[in-house]
Amino acid sequence: MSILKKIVTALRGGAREVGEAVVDANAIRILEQEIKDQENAIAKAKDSLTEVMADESKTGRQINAIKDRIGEHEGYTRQALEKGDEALALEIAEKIAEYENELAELQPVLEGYRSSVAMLKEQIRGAEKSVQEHKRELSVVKTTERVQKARVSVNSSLSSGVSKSSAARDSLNRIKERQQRLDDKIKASEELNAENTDANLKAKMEAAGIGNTKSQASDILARLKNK
Amino acid sequence: MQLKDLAIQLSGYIQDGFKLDVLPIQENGDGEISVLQVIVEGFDELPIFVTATDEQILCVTNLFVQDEVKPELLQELHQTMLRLSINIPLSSLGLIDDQFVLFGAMSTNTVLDNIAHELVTQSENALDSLEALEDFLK
Repeated sequence: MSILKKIVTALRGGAREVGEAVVDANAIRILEQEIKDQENAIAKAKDSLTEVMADESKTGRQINAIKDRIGEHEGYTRQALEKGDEALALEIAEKIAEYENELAELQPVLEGYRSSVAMLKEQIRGAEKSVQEHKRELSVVKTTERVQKARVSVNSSLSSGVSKSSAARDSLNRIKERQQRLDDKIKASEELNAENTDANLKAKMEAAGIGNTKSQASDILARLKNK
Repeated sequence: MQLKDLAIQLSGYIQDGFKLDVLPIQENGDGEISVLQVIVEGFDELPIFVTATDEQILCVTNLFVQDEVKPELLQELHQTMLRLSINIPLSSLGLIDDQFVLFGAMSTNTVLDNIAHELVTQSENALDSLEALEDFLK
């Protein structure tokens, strides 16, 4: 049964704490052992594979060499026949027969190597698949274990302190308030900035005698005199 | 992935303008760090708990427990969360025992920048999710 399926079974059986249902130290140890065994098996199979592949190519080369020699000797036989040397031709033909017997012996050996190579490759592929599967399952178990451990640690270290997490609604409101305060602060300082630039401008305009200039005593005196 | 290394690297890291605060939590005082509590600046109430296996880094934010949910809406909440989960970038919704969580998983080969980005995104996602699911809570 896959680990995920075990978790679902535990949940449907009414278990609220998933971790305990799935994570026992044994399960992890067994999974890890299986992965290790499979990986060893793969390494061994790969060693055998390389050996068999070497034998295969060696035998293949031998067969090719014999075939070459057969071809060669067939040529010689023809030449001997052309020269009318029947006895020599027969002797060469006997040699060809020897080569062909050798070839007949080697051919099934090569076939054997070839099927071993195919079989080993198939085995390795199968083992690699199962390692991958076990690793994934181990990852599910370890994640479940980690979450469990993390929860226990968090609960035990935070339950005494003031930082114990309170109801979600309170948290939400507090964060919102804080963000509002921050926004207000930013707005206030923006307004302050704007006022400051306003005031600066006014001061400059006054200095230049533009806009609402301050009443000066001399101006008032001049105005009164003109009346 | 060594959580200790991650803690050292992430502590004080600034990502997308947010500063990260990291608190390693030890398991039963035997020296082994089993989980990191990461707080993204401004999201103090929604800490992210980071844990790791050989293969993945897992980031979990607790949203609310089942007792906080209006009982008559529990079924609908489950459906809604299943549907919503796909729309949330980089994070998924889940249930650990009776704790509803938002979580994200990364390969242990993830570069630090991406881990930090995921943590910031997760904090924002957690807030958005809480806001979106507020009506289901008591």
